[in-house]
Amino acid sequence: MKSIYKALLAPFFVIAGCLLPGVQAQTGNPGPNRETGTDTGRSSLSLMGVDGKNEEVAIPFGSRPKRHLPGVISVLRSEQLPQVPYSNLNEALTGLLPGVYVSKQNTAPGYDASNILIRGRSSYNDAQPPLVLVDGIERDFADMDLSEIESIGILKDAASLAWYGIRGANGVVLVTTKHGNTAGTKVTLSGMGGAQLARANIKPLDSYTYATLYNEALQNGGLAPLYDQTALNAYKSGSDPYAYPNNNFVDRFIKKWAPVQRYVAAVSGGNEAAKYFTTFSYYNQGGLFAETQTPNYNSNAGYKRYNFRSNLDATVTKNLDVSVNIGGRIENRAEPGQNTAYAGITDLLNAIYLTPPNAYPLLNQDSSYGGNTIFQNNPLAQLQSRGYNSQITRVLLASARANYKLDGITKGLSLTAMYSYDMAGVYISGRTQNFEVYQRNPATGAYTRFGTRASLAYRAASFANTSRNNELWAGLNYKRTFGAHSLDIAGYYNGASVFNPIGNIRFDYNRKSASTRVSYDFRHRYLADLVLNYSGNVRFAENHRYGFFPALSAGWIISEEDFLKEIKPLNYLKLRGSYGLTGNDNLFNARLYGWQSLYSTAGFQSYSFGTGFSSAGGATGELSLPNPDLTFEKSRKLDLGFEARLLSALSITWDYFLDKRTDLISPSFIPGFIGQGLVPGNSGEAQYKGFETSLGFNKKWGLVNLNLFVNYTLAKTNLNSYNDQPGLPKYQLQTGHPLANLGRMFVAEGIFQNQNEITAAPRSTLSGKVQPGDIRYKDLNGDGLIDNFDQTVLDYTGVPASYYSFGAAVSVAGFDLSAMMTGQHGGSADIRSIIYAGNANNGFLNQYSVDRWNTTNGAGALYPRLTLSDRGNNTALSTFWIRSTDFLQLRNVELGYTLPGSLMKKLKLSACRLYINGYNLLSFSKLNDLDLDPALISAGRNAVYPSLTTLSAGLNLTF
Amino acid sequence: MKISKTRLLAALLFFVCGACKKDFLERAPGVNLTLDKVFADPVLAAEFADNSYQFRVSDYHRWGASNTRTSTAHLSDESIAQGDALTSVSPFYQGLYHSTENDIGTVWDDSYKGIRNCNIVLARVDQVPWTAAQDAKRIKGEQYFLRAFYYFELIRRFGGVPLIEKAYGLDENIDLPRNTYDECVNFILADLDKAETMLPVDYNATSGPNTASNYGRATLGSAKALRARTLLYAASPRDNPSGDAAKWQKAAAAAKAVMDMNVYSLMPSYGSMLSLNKSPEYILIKIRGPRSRVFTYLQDAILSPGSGGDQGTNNPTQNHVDLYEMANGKPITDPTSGYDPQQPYTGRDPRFYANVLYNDVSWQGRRMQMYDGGQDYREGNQTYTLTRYYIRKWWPEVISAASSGTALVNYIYFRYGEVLLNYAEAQNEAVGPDASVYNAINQIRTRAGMPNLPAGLSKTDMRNRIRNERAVELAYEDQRWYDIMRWKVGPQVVAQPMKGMNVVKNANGSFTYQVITLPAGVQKVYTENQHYYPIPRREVQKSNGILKQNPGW
Repeated sequence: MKSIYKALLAPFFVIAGCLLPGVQAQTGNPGPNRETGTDTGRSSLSLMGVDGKNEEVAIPFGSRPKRHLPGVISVLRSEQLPQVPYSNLNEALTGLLPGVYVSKQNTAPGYDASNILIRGRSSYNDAQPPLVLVDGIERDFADMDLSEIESIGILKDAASLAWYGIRGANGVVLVTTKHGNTAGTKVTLSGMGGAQLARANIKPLDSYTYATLYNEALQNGGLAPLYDQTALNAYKSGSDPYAYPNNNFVDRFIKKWAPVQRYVAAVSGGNEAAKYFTTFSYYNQGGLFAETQTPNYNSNAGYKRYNFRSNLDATVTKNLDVSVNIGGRIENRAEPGQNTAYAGITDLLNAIYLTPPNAYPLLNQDSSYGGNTIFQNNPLAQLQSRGYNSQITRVLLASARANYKLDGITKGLSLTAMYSYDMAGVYISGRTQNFEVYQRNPATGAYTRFGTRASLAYRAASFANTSRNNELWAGLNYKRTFGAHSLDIAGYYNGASVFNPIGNIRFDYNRKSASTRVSYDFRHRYLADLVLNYSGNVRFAENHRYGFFPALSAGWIISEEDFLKEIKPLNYLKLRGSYGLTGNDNLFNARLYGWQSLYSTAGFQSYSFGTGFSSAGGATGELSLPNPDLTFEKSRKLDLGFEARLLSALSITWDYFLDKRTDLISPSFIPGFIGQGLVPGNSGEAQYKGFETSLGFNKKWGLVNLNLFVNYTLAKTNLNSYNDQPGLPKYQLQTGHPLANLGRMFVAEGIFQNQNEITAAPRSTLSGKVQPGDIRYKDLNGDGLIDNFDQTVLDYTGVPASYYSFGAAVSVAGFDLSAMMTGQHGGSADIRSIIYAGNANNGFLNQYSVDRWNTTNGAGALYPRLTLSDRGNNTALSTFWIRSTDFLQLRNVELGYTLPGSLMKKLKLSACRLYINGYNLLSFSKLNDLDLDPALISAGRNAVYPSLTTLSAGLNLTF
Repeated sequence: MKISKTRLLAALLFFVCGACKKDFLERAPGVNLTLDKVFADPVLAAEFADNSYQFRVSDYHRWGASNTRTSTAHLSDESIAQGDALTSVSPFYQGLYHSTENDIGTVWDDSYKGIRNCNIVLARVDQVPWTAAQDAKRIKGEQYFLRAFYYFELIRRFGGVPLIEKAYGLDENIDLPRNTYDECVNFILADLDKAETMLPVDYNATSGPNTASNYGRATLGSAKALRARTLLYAASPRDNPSGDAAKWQKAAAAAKAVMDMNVYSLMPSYGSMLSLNKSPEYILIKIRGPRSRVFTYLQDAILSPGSGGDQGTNNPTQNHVDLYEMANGKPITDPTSGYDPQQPYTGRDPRFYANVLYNDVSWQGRRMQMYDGGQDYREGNQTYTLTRYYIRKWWPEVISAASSGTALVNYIYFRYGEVLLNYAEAQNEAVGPDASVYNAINQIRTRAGMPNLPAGLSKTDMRNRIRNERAVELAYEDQRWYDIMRWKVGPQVVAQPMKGMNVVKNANGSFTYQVITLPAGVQKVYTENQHYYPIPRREVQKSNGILKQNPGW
């Protein structure tokens, strides 16, 4: 573990190295430190719940003091963003804002993924990812670098979202990048180095236990044991590691930790005529695989990312401002060799986690790779004789924006136009190689070969996933104050053309919209916004193509009223409410142009004739029957809430919300004898409702600064209407149950303990023969049979009904310490794939198999008896396998030290902070019994990368 | 820099007008076309017509995971399933057809998709500006043939079904009831009458639209063979409860008509039945290129794990193996046959060796090891055979773990051998075992290398010998299961103990064989309602009671 310290210290050495020549080179006039860099001297958590001084919140094509905003937008400013050690920036939002649920999906280098859900689920069609806009353009946010970001706004209520009309229903993440300012040249350098510790790996069985359990499973099926006493003894004693191997692949091939690093250099500055901001950053996440180095290549998984951004603003004339923003990144993913991306990682993990300990010796006596007919994926061979796969993704994001003041026409009027051109592509290369494995016959000493060797060669390079996105925004702003009345109007046109080939649909789609926002403010006390949007998508028939999306919001800063002004402890209280309509134009399972009756010459399997199999016909066919009424989904959102600040230290927000969706795309049913499917209709309805609240407390006593915060969100979901298959019994209908439902399942009633119980119970048709040790099910329709009619839809859902976080930060003089806990409640998961991790070849045996039912442990057993075949009864989805995913997690702890001002002056620095932190440190959950990470239960078994706990140290410098 | 207000307004107007330019959201849908455009182009119209072939049942393994695991052999007495395959056929084994999509739901849907495609083409075929590159008459004949073919696929499974003669739109009355079995048969025969006037005898033209590269399309012979099979089914006990001999007579005459074409003959080698790209015995086959081991039914259901299979889960039963006579023409139950239970694989019908892989057979340069600890059997592991047999007919010898070879495995729709068996069966039922019955059946036996049937068999004995001959000759050709249904013999054949062979390798290298009853999970029930499949339940439920379910389901 000593080398972990090296990893933690790396950034200090690197930055020190950069500085030695750099210190002298520093010229210019370090101006007053503007509180916008990520790299100033405080921990990010210490800024939670602290309002920026009359903070301006970015809204679409405008900004507004947060105080004067009647809608609901939660904002993280750059200095509040945590320095997450993850490559996926969605992680930066975890726990920091109410109404934002971030769930981890994957941890593998280059495939790090988290989903964002805003408030709750109100559609069964997808996981409702929000619309992500970077500088107003639909772009990826997860792969940006923190240093590029000025602020992240989460738009939640109808009044904020209606501007985006047909795309707004899932909420919007509005990311603004940094720009230079006239305060002077500022250089920031930061470095972070750390170690990602593998956690929640499955614990392999030793060969003796494995063989014993395998014998038991055979005997349960009425078969003779495979391993005799000689073999069992040999496994126990380890006397013959070739004939009776006892491997622990997890220990050998998965390292305890892997390094992670991030370095950033940013420069900004400017004058009245021109301003600039430039940043360059490097992120590197190492892979956890061991023994990956070969003389010719290293096959370890890994992810390197280079982000670049240059934002330039110029004042061309008194009235004309122009800005050009160029951003880009190169993502370099490496993994063990396979032909398809990610397969190299999953195939290897499969071999490491699921190969029985006694399957084969890794190397035979003659140093050939061990293996046999059913276990050929020798992990050592996969790492050292399978080549590697490299994928380089290049992304270019460019946009230009011009703003022309039209004060000449009327004061406060301006014209803005913005055009973007984004493109991306992947380049795939690497080396190919393949191996053969040998099985030694102990009697004859002869070797049998499996697989075919292929020498090391270059992988055929290819390009893939080329995409392009153009957007135009153009419109007018008018902002003027007449006495006590303030008016702020924006009206914009947006057209976009997106080319993102999926499968064989190589077709760009277009959409356009017109948005207007009228904000009125009387005495900075009575606020009202009217937002109107008219938008359409080429996907729908002409008369169903466009939607009109109005929304209205109102706010009342009641604390400004005379009758409350006297109440001194109440610094600020705003009541607000909004109601409006937004849409979702995703087609889900409806085909493109689903409103038209169409015949395609593509996508149909061709049909061969002739003895040479060459002549093909039949490549033209009819597409599913059209639904001329196909249209977008609609979401009606209501929000009622308040913001308050008390005693100059306590800030509170609270919002009740209701999101009702209608016209959800829902399957259509027509008789099979019509001979065609029917494009889905818009007949589904669903909703969520609940509340979110955040509390922040911030107080300073001399050198001590204390900050506390709590976020809590409750969102109850319900599927109001769904076009279920006709004729289903009522208990199998999805309607009336929560969204993200785990599906139809049997109701388990424990485990059969003896044959008498089985005889007396309804007959299970789920497997050929039910035996003691099998799961017993409830006969829901009372027909004496357990079959599909005894499955029912219950209220188990994969998305928690509530999620929360709380944290504290304290700083004393130069030191600061902060911590955050996150948690969730009311979600469930199906653990079959965990308990039964495995396959037919290893007998589905793993660490959990020890707790199976057998004749000796009877009623105390946690899981059904072991079986190798005829497993249907015990593998069916039932309540037996449902577990609560509630957890409370110590998400992160950070300790920092900021150099005192006097020292910094000597060093010609304007800020300098050192920190160490840890992420994903501890969790409290019932699932801990299963020795897994409750936030990502699939991690570390089957083909899923282990969960990671990250420890890191870093240094931020500003000149 | 001064910009006049009017200029600015003009610029603004330009923006706004550009925004409203209608065609920005009025896109042509790529390569997709309207029906009129398809049928205005003879090339597209011909392609569209060819699409009618696409919806046929076209492989032996066609459902279960990846549609490569499960076959009708699993349902009949031909084989049993394990592992993934068992998961998908287990409900069948328990007589619970409702919980499965497969040979029931998928065939219902696909057949009607094919019928729709035929109906669309037939409604438009006369308006297409055909050129010399297409044979419009043939295309029309193909549609009539295929429509008849799809209806036959439906009635052999479900009995009478709704007869759909046009492509319905959604604004029409689509609450259609079932037609009777006889109405369906008459509809099929009427389509075949038309098809027979339009289809060519073969595709041997040297130029034009009917050259050899069209082999695999419907021919006159295919239409006649379908007629023979349709009439055979219509005369069979299930659909001819009164035993009307006239129906058998029609069936015999239809089979005779194929024989009298003098176009088809038995190919010399039974063993290469599925592996030729062209044969005088083939009347209609699915044209499909050679297959490899990976990602096919071969890896997923057929190959022993000892030879590179993932799951060797389609395993012949002892019940099937026992149907093969001894090479001397006597059934193994005959005490004079010379059958030795300890040498069970010696001196059997040569077709046994062509269809089944058994213990100690030489295969791919080694001997199959079906005993515990052998390469091809591992007790309790459901990826190895449960019965100690694998199916040779579906496993080309070049396909093994070490090779990346490919081989043909044809799906046969109609072959001459079946026509002879159809004739023999129908003629025997119509007039008894006359010389023509003997002649037809003995042709089959001679080709296989078996002696002729003994003279003087009674009608009943002949019926039993013909049925046994069918089971052996057409083994693993997707016929047995439907024969069992139409003969109504499921209770006697399927609902019997499914058996396998226990093989023990003795210390001296010899083997001990013992027939055993297989575990409960692969035993099958067969009740009277199973002579027909149920109409897919979802279809009955969609129909508001208009579509009547088959009795007993």
